[in-house]
Amino acid sequence: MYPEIENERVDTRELPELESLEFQKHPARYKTYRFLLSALIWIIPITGLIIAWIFSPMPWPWIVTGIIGFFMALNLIGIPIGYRYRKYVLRERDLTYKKGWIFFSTVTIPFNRIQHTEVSQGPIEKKYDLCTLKIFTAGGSTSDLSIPGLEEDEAQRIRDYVAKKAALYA
Amino acid sequence: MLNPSGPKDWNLHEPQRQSLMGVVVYILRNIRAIVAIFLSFLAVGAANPGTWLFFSLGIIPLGIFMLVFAYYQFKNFTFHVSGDKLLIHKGVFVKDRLVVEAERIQSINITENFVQRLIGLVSLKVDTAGSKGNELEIPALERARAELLKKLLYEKKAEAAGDDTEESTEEKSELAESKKRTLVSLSLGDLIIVGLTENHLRTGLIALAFVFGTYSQYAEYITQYFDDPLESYAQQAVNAGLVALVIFIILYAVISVILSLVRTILRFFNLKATLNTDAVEISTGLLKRNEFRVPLHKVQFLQLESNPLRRAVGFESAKIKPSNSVGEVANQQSIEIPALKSAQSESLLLGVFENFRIPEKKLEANAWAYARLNAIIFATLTIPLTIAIYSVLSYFALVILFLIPIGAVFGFFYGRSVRLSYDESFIVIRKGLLFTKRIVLPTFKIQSIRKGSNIILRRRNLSHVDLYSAAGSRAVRFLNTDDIDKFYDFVLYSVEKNTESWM
Repeated sequence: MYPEIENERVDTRELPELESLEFQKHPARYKTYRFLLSALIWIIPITGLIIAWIFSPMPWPWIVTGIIGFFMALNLIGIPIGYRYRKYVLRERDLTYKKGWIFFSTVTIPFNRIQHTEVSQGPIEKKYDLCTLKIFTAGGSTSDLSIPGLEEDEAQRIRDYVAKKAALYA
Repeated sequence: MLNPSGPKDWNLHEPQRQSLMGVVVYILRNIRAIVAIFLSFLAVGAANPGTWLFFSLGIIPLGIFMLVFAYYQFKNFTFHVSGDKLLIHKGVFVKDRLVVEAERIQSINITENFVQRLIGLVSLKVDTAGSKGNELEIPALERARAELLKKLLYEKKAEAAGDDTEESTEEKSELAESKKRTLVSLSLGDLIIVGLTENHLRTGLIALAFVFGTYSQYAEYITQYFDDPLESYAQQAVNAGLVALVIFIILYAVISVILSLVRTILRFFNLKATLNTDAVEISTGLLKRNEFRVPLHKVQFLQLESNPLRRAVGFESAKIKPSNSVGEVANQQSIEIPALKSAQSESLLLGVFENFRIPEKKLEANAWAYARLNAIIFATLTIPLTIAIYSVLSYFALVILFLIPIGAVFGFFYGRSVRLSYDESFIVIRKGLLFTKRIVLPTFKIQSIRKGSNIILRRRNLSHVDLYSAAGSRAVRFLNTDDIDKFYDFVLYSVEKNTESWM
């Protein structure tokens, strides 16, 4: 079951430190892409807002404008700020992605736990020459990693590297 | 060839039908399906006498059709093993031909429900790797034939995997047989104790949700019947409100306890758990008997739970979490042993994880963070309530605000109970003040890891960590960020240098 394995002492101070590494950022046009995406999404609430101004009695249009305005501002400010927090690093044995400016998160997937990988590109992504790299593990959909906004050849390069490494363990 | 009664020495390599008594099983299945449809029709149309007439006329031809249908369901269902494949032919109007390669079989489970037990049949379920609904079922087999088929399929699977010659498999199974030991077998007395020490609050809430859910579904039709009497009694009912409340609470308590008891006995009747060198086997249930077999290397983690009542009688319950591929049956009810003495849970732990020892490195959660979180939650709940009630009760309403410090104190002590200990081989998470939990997870079974924080927590240098395994994730919240960073690096190091197979 558990074969005898060597179990030498490990000095925890000498473990590779993730936080000391320099992370890589997305290309700057990822921000433009996100702005366009946001604009498309906000069409629906704004249409609702216009209808509210035409048909609803007086206090309501102001309340709805306030609420929608708040979330829209948060969303739009969030794109450039969030961009600075989105970064990834590829190491010999794992891939790490950091994101979030209100709630931060860091996810790492070791290569010896990868089930399969995928590079996808939506119609709007295609216009900006961006790709999404997806990495799947057996840990269920919550543990899968998806890195949007990568240069097309960069995404392919990472994917090939990761797939080659993962194949060594399969 | 097609011999419905079946000789005692079955040749599983020839197409064959199930036991003739299987017709009964099919009839009952059809009845169950039809009753469900009927009930909703009845609920809608019961007030209309025409509905009843329609049903009494319709029921006879429908019944005859159902009998014939069940017979053909039985007659057209044949199965056999050919080469290293299991083949099933079935279907009355639409014919199906199902093929499973032995290699792809994840697990084979034998279950029996109440009716099947009466007529002495079992159903055999074959789980394959893949998504839901990929499970094959042979619903009416004699037990001996089911066991034979199960054994044959497992042999084919081992052959296909190519890692064993026939001799060594035999040797191995003999060895396993000799090492087999009963871990725990529960008597009715034990079960009653388990039932009485369930979390009654939860059982009661489930029952309540069910009652209200069902009620609101048919509320319209029920009120239609009781409309007039309801109105005339309404005034009295309001006056009797307080009495009703007291009665409700008593009823709630009584029903919750009874339900807990019934549920426990139904689910865990005559539970037997045995521990082999390579698998845990559990058989359990009164009306529906389930048998689980979980290969030890598929166990991703163990979760040991208790509550104050159970601790008082010295019991702990254990959940065994296998990787998702073990199959639907096992996943629906995560495999549970409800009552273990502490010596038994130790031997379960050591049986499943051979070289388990309590890890050395320890992290403690920040108790103040839990206190603050609880205070915030309670404040957002109680302050609006206080304002609302203030106009009625004036200063007495302020009493509600005492819930905030009480919540904070509770949060503080809960936070103190949250501990994470780890080394290269194991991670142990402990948490819970009244309802305690202990999670034992081999470090190398981790699939991926996540750490998180937010703007507010960052100033206090606190973070969360999520550990994802192939059987679900477990989180620890409010730990020191520097500690988490070290833990994170250490876990990655341990997982990445490990070459063992995690499933």
